[in-house]
Amino acid sequence: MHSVVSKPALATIALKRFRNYGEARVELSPKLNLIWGANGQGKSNLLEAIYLLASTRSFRGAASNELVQYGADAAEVSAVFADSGQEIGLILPTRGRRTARVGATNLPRVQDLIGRLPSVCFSTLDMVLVTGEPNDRRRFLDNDLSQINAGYLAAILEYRRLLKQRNAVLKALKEGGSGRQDLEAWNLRMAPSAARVRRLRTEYVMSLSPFAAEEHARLSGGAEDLQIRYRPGDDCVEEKDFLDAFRISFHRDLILGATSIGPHRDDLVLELSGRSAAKFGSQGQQRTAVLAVKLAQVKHWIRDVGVIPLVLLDDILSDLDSSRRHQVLEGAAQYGQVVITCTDYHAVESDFSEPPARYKIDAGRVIET
Amino acid sequence: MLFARPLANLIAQLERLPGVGPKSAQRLAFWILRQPEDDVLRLAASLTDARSKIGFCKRCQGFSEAEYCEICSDARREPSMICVVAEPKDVASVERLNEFRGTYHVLHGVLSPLDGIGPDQLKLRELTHRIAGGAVTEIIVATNPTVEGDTTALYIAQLLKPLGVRVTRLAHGMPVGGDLDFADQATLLSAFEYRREL
Repeated sequence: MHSVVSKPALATIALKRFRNYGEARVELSPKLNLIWGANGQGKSNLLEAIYLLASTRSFRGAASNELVQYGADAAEVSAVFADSGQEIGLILPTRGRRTARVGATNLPRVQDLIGRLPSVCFSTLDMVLVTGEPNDRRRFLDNDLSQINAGYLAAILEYRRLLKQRNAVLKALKEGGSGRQDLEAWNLRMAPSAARVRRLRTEYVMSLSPFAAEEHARLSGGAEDLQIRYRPGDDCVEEKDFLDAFRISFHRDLILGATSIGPHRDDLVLELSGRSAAKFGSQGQQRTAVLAVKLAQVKHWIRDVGVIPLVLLDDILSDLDSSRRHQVLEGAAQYGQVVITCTDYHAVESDFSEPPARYKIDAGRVIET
Repeated sequence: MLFARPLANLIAQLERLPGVGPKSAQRLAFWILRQPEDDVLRLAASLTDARSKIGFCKRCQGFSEAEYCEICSDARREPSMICVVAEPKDVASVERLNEFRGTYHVLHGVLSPLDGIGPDQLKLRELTHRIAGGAVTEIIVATNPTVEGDTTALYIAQLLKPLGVRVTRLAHGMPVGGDLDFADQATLLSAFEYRREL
């Protein structure tokens, strides 16, 4: 348990040549903000811009060139923190390197921006937590953990690089290349990296799990219990286990031309009363389970990290019935800053206990209402 | 053709230089054409002169005009200690310290299978030969603290330890005079990992 030490909130978010925005600047309330308007006007783009500043990634998995307004060379998103007045920015060129800055100073690497704007984003795409591939679930863990723990970001980037290098050795050997006695050196370097990634992910899921169960009980009225578990693809734990396993799996890896052991093969499992939510859950049960995991993420930030994250809700209200909607919004109101998108404010107005700051989006323009 | 043939040739040659793209190559070519002829001849001469006179030092594999480079031919340098570096420029960095009195060995790269660089592409056989002489007691691996630099160091350790040589690696951690607030997270993490007793 952690006493809350910080509560980062944004005073403004500004977009330049970003998607369908020419230039826009929105002053945000430190509490609830509602972005509304018809489909295709740019509501989610605004949320996407905020999440880009948090994670340097698009929550919709968009590439840089998709983020830039048609005909422009680069988009820019920036935001100013309410308490410190500090500005952070990200320049996204259609091609070439992204640049991140804090104030007027460019950061040495874009990833150094990650962690400055703690945030949790909920969107309909989060359903991949149940319905998607293991890869989607690993990305979920990687994105979140990278924001919480900069050491994790370094560890996962390092691991991905090592994996590519080791696989390149295997491929060269498979194609009959001789003189690749360096495989063992790659094993030696990769073993501690693999152990670190797996350990940090396991610990994260373990600390997330009780919060997910708690949130799920609240949402479902305690009908079933939700458990989330990290499921490693092999039984290695320590550095030494990985090193042995890399050596033993050599022949199999050679045939595959790829590494068969390691955290890049792990998965995250959601279970409802002991049964796989992916296999046995109804659509409604799956949706509730995912929502509980997302709410658990927020709780974990608050209780274990000591930070109230910025919460982004992208168009999820319409999928919920009125009582769930009320529960989610009520929960959200206890957090710090929340930015919500929806198509029709009037349809959800009654679910807010206090009126949010409202912005109507119309063809890439922001109209305060 | 956009440019006269000799100019197009020049641009094509310049484009082959590392870090030079088509636009820079054009700019350099135009600049060269505007220089006095003597200056350009000097530039051309220095290119061929350097290329024909500079070779690899027979011992350390660094660039040298003579058979052995200045450091390797200096009798005051301690031959029992070898600092292994990835690139010739790294020798200059360590030399500026005025602290290391041993000799060097230049690998001309680090292991990077993705770029097709394995042990055979580096000057490792030459290093093993130097050890085989028996006079070397310590190898200090000073490759960069990247995954490729680390792995190269591990490879060298595996290769040479059976020969009875001590293999060490440069420490990595906080920059001196650095500020905790500005240290990048990976550096800070490794500084924690490699902390030492006071």
